[in-house]
Order: sequence, then structure tokens, then C-alpha cells
Amino acid sequence: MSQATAGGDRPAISIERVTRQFGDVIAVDDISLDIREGEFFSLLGPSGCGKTTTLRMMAGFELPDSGTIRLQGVDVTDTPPNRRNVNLVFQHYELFPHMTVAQNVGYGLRLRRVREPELTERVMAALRLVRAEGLETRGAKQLSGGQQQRVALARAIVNRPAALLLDEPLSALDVKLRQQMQLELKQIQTQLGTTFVYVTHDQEEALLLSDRIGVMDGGRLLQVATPRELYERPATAFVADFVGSLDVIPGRVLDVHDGIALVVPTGTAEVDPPNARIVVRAPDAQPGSVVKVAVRPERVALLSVGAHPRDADIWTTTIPGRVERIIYLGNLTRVVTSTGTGQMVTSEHISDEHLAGVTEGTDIHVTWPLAAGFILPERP
Amino acid sequence: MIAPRRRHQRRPWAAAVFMAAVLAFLFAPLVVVVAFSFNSIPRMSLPMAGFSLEWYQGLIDDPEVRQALGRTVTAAIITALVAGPMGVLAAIGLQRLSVRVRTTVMGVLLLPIAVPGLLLAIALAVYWQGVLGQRYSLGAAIIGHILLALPFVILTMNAAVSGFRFSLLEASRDLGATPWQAFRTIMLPLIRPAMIGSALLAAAVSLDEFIVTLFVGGRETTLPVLVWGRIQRSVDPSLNALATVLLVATTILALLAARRTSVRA
Repeated sequence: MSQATAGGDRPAISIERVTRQFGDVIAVDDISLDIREGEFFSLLGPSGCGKTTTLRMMAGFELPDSGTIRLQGVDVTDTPPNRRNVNLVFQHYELFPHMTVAQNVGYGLRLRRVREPELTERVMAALRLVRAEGLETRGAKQLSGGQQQRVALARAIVNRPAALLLDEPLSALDVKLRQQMQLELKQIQTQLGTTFVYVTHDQEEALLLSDRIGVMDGGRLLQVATPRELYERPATAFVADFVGSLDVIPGRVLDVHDGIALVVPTGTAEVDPPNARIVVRAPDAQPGSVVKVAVRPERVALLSVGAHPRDADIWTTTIPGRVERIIYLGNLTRVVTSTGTGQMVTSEHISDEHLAGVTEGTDIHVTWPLAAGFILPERP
Repeated sequence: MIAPRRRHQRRPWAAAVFMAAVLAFLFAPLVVVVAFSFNSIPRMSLPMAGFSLEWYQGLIDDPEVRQALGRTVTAAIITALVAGPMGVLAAIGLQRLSVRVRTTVMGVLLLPIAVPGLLLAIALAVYWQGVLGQRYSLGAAIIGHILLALPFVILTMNAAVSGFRFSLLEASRDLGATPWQAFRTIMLPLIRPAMIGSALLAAAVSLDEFIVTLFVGGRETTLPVLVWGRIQRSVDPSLNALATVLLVATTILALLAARRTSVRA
């Protein structure tokens, strides 16, 4: 896992070898992570991967069994939540139902003995920032989902925390509203310059919002990287599969030359070998070894049999197959092709006239350029 | 599909008559007691002579009744003030237990409802004088009242507390509140209606408690015990008036309690 810290910069939150166990279940398994000052960092993973427990340990609601948590260099491992300068936006908002919006937002300030007129000024400024002005006299129970979300955000940022922790804050909203709130959230973060730690299971959301993403599974932190690195150079098979979708084709290495391997799909004996060939960068591969070749569906093109392939360059992968299913998704069309070895390859195309000749049952070649394919790392 | 429905509707008057009979059985004695408390002659037979408040006036003039009333109200207030908060704490504590332990503890806590009052009264009497060597007094009776009222308070508070979102306390702690501040500013206001309701319920239990008070109250009689004592000698409409006062008081408390506890934030 990469854990780069810009030279000399003190991380906003530093987690060192933290483990947390619930009974027999290891929720968080020996995680180390530095979150930089001012960055939008996401913890991404399926439910039960330990991301929320990690966030709750940062907030102080869970204590690690071992390891250290530092906030701006100060050890807060055993500090109770009320004495940590971080604020959490809860998944279900947890607005106080017996208070108005203004009372909710001002709650933390009143505990810190902030007096009028500063109290009202800061409450109003926070509500303006989240575009919830005009709601201040409303009861917390009289708000729509989106409004509750905004108020919960205002209630947290009004305290000017060193870092804002967000636990799937948009998961309860419908799609349209969620997309709008994603943009606003990013804008607010940029405007405030506050460190955001964002927990989500939605890889699209993580890619869209984050400066860096940490992917978790089974309590372990698998990879920390920028969205682009994560998508294009996943460190493990799990990351590759979880972030975006993936075609995986098992094969056998025939030959390696200058770090580029010629691979035939496993069980290719039945088809004409020259027609089924995968060309992939694999500096470590040995001839005869078994590998898994992966490619993103949007990088796969379809080539009609007639057009193939004398002039196609030798670096292009081509596998013959037959179109099994065509799934129309509006802007995109997804094509599932079965290769001669029974392997399914899914490809995604812009829905346009180039697909006119492709119908279910057509014999076809799936093909992708050298840059698109990669060998799936052996680690799980 | 239609036939059974028709059969249900065939004799709607039968259900009405049955219902009326049940209500009459339940409430006829009360009606009699209340009606004769306003009768102008000290004879409890029909026809009634005329309307009069003399029996109520008699109660007010009776020093024994005034004294007993004072004790009854004292007992009710102390029971409410002690059993109420105890029940709240018990209900909150119950939430921290695992479901299995909670069910068991809950069963034990509610046991006083199932145990006959007589048994409790005997146990309390034996313990108070035999073991502790104390004289019977109103204090002893109040302890009994608290004991009897607690299960009801716990039951009501448990419903309110289990409906409470404990994650609200986390939100409060996250915003800088100490555990006590979180309880005081978030939980307390939200469960307050149920707290007041269950305290009223405890007061209602205390108000008409008889057996335990008779056993351990000694000479410090409350209204129910006083009524019982007088019935031994003679039945006169002043007892009707007294019973009516108790009836109205407990009904009002119970209604107030029901309103508080059924409406939940």
C-alpha cells in the first residue's frame, strides 16, 4: 500500500497500526494511514469492510484494541469524542428532534460558550454555506431528507473542526439529489479547505469526490491512491474488481519479449490459435505460467470478422467470439460476447451507428490495444 | 368471501347488548356509589331524596379525614418522586444489557405485579418489625407503595427509552457534550413526557393502595384504610363521598398518565 506523505507536512489524521476487534470478528486489521491536511479522502469498501469502524475510531466512539491515532500530531487514541476537534456527519443525520434548525446548528457553539452575537452570526454563516438559510426557525422534524442533510453538515462545520468525518452522508437521498449534493459537498470542501474523511461503498462517488481513496476489505486497507491510479493500476484483484467493472480472462503465457507477453486464453485448443491471442505487459511473467488478464469493458472494441485482421498491429489483442447479449442502457450499450473457450467478455460502447451491424448471434472479434490490458495481481 | 361477512353482520345488536352488559357490570357499582354520595338523606335505597353536598361538607369538617387525606397525598407525592426517577434509571440501565439478560432482569423487576399484594404486605411487615425492629408507620407504607409502583414505572419508561435513538447522544458527544450534558440536553427533554406520565402512574398506585398500608402503616392511616375502618362500624353516605373523591383523583391521575405516555416524541 502506498502511504506517501508530502515531505515534512504534518498529516491531519495519522493512524498507526490500528486494530479493532468485536468478539471474534476483526473489524479493523492493522491499518496504517496518513490523511493529509486539507485533502478530500475517501474510505471505500463493501459493507462490513471496517470503514465505518475506522471512521468511528477517528471520532472517538470506538477505541482501538491496539495502535495509535493522532490528530494534527497529537495522540488522541484515548481521548473522548467531546474533546476531539473533529466532527462527524452521521449517516442518518441524528438531528435533535426537539430543537429548531438554529438550535441544532448552534448546539456545539453553545457547549463551547460562544456568546451572542457571534453565536447567531456563525450559525447563519454555516447555514448560508450549505444553502439552508431560511430554515433556522424550522423544527428538525419538519425538514426533507435533503434539508436534514444540509443542516447536519452545517451543525458539524460551524465548529470549525480540524477534520470533518462523513459516514455515508448521501446514502439516504434519491439519485438526483445525491448527485447535486456530491457537487455541493466538493464545493464546500474546496471553499473551507477543511480535511474531509468520507466513508462510502459507492465507488463512483469516491472517484468523483476524492483527492485520494483508501480501499478496504475484510478489515484491511488494500490500497491508498488517487482515483486515477486506483482505476488504472489497481494493487490487488479486489481493488480492480471493486473500483469499476472488469473483464478477467485466464490464460497461459506462450512467450515473453521485452516485457510484453503473448498469452492464449486457457483451453484455446479448440479455436484457431492465431486468432485468439492476448498481448499484455507482463515484465515478471514466465513462459508457461498461468495468468489472469484484465481489461476494463469501455476499452474493449468489437471488430467484425470480415474486417479482421491482417493489418491490425501485432500489439493488439484479438479474441474471436459470438455476441450473446446486447443490453441497451441509453447513452451506453453493453455487449456480452462469449469467446471460443466459453469465457464471457463484456464490452461497453457509445450507443451509435457503429453498433448497427452487431446483433445477438453474430460472430465477432473482441479486441483491445496494448495499453488497456493488465495482469491481475495475484494478491486477493 | 361474501358469506362470512354477512354472517358477521347478521346480529349487530347481539354484540351491542353484550357490550352494554359488560359495561353495566363494570360501572354500575361506581354509579351507585357516586349517586348516593349526593343523596340528601342517610339512607341508601331508592328513590333518592334530593341533591345535597352535605356529605362532602362532612368530610371537610372531619379532622380524621383531613389527616388521612394529608397522609395519602404525602405518600402519593413521595412515591411519584422516588419511583419515577428510579424507574427511569432502571429503564436506561436495561438498554445497556444484552437482549437475553434484559428479558430476564425485566421479568424479575416486574415480579411484584404478579406476586399477590397480601404476600408483599406480609413480607414487608415481617421484615420491617421482625428483622429491622422498626415501628409500623407511614414511612414503611410508602416504601411498600414505591415497591408496588416501580414495575409500572419501569414498564412505561422501558417503552419510552427503547424508542429513544441513542445515536442522538453520540451526535451530542461529538459536538462537545460531556456524558451528563448529553443526557441533560438531549435525552431528558425527549423522555420527559413519559417520565411525568410514569410518575403520575406511581402516584395513582399509591393513592388507592390498601393492603400494604393496612399491614405496615400502623396508626398512620391513609384514606383507603380509613374507609375500611369505618365500613366495619356502619355504612353511611360520607363513605360514598370519600370513595367518590378517591375515584375522581385516581381517574384524573391515570388519564393524565395515559396522555403523557401514549404520545411519544
